[in-house]
Amino acid sequence: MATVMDPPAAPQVKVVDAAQPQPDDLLVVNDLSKFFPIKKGFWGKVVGYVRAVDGVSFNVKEGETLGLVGESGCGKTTTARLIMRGYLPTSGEINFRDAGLGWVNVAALDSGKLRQVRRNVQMIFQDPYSSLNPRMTLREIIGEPLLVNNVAKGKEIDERVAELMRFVGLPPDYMVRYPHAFSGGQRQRIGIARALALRPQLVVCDEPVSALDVSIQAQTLNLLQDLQEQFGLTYIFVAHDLSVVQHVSRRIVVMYAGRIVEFGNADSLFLDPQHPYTEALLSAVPTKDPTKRKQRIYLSGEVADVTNPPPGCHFHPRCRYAVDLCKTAVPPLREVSQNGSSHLVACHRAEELDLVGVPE
Amino acid sequence: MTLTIDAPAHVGEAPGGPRPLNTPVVLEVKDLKTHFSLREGNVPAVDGVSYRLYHGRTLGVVGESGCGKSVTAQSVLRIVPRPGKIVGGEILLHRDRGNGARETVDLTSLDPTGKEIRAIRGNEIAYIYQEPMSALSPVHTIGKHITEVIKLHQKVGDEQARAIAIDTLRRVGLPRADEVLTRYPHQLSGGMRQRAVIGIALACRPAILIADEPTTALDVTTEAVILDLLRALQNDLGMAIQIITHNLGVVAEMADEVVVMYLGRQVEQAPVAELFHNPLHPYTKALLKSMPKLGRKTAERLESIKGMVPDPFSIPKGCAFHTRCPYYLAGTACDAPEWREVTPNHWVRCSRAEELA
Repeated sequence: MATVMDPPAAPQVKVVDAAQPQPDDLLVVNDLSKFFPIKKGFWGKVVGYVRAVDGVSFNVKEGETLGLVGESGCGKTTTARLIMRGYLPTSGEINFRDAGLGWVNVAALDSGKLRQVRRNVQMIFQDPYSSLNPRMTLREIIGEPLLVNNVAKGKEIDERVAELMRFVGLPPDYMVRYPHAFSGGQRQRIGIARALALRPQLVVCDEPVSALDVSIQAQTLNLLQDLQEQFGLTYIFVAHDLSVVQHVSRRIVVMYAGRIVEFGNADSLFLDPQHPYTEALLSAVPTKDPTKRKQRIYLSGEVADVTNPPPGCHFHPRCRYAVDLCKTAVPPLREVSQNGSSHLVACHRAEELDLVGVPE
Repeated sequence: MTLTIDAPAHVGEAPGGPRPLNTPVVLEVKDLKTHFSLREGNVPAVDGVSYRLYHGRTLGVVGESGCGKSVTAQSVLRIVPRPGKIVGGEILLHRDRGNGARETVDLTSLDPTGKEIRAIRGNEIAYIYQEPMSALSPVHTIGKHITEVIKLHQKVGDEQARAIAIDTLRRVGLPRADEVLTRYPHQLSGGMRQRAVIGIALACRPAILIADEPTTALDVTTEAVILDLLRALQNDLGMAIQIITHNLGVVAEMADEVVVMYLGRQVEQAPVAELFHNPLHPYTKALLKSMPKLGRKTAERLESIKGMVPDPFSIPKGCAFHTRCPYYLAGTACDAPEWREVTPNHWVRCSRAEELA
């Protein structure tokens, strides 16, 4: 247990060198970690850490949608919140190409600069019920970002709010109403309008459709796509529903117990996965064709406990391909090319395994 | 500390296989009407629903929130929350009288708090709730939960109840069952909690299991395990399952027959393969098209249904879907579509089903 007591250890996973951002990158996350201390007793002695995000690196290109998938507790929401600087990272860099300030490391910004950057990074929340203040009218909800950032005043706010409401398909007359008067799908549109009020560069969508009905889900996904084209938005799309993520994303990051296990192009990642966890995840998705009920890979046991993660590969206790090496050495995230597709994979045995993806 | 299941990793057996055919009807719902009379008006949450459950077979009920799928199930168990009331129809439970003789009970005629329904509820008809955390009491152990239902319905002592409980928990895939009995719900993971809830439901070997969104709160890998478990238990115990869900994928995996509901009414009913390959109602078609599919991308945009589910106080007259239907023709049979059997076992409530097929 000694290691748990130590302050966060130096990252063990060296990933692709992202120190040099490419010209089309908008966000480059480098070796990002967030360890939450577990405190006990009267003096709040730190007895361990929840390693929610453990050395994560990826880049987001301008104008794309990057999907972030994984099961509950894998660190996808924590990663999203770190990008918003909702939490202060334990270590690592979040490099963002701000329209006004140029490249900045969001992880190390002072509060003044952070305010400026936050205008360009907005968030859409999962629950359209708890994310809207029931005591504020739509004008106040959607207009608040404009007001606190001194972008608009008085009558101008009304005009901007009306415009935003039209963009998301809500009649501007509803501006004087309160959130309770709206259905789940409409509330999510209000949340989207609020996120777009400042014309952000990057929008972090945290499970934006998982609380919605199937028919409303499709409308909302289409709306997000339309707005992306119209305003040239870049999305980070966090969700647990693989078919939704695949539909909206150009590239996908698969996370497991705080680490990235696979990162690649959306189509090839699902047709031709190279990490055993991705394979198992895909096999668990219910088929959409009752005549093709399939064999499934069972994952035994539970998701790795991130307060006391297993040594080596976090996935090895549940992996049916695990060998001794997997129990001791952390697999680095590295580029593996197979069957004509190339992903970043964190698996020692990626080349030798022939994994099954979604049947075409 | 959470307990973990340490069964070996393995590949699940191929589900499906031959499904039982021509098994006896165990539950028959006929023209059920459950209405909520509120100050703002009358809400016909369930308005003339009919279906049958067969021994060893699974009925999937799908629909969006507010379509009445949960109220239908609550009506069967007579646990409709106030002010909801069954205002019409019959719910016939066909049961064995022990010696092979069958008898029929109309559940709508029973007192919802009476002795008879309480002997059926949790015993012959079991219910699995959506959210395992709120279905369990945080101040009672799993053992307390499960032995309570056993002692309530079977004439057994503490020792024997415990033995049945351990046997049931093993059956739902909880190893170290005697240890699980002493645990409180918060000490179990989501998947284990849902297994425990299923165990409580199955402790009395029910003839009918109604599962209301049993996997909605679970991760996809856990969902797969729970669905396979339900199917394996059905093969063992031969119970009829009614699975209520908004997820068409779950229906495709589990059901033999499917009922699609919209605003308190059935709009389509068919065997599962028929429904997915040959949907007839515009609503069913739209639902199937609006689901993104895993695999190679087929379309850039999803097809969506315009508008939203209408307010339950003002359900559209005639075809309830007409306000959102692209094929609606005013002044035709669309204004009063009948519930009819288009091909054997394929029922639909749309007057234009054939011409649109």
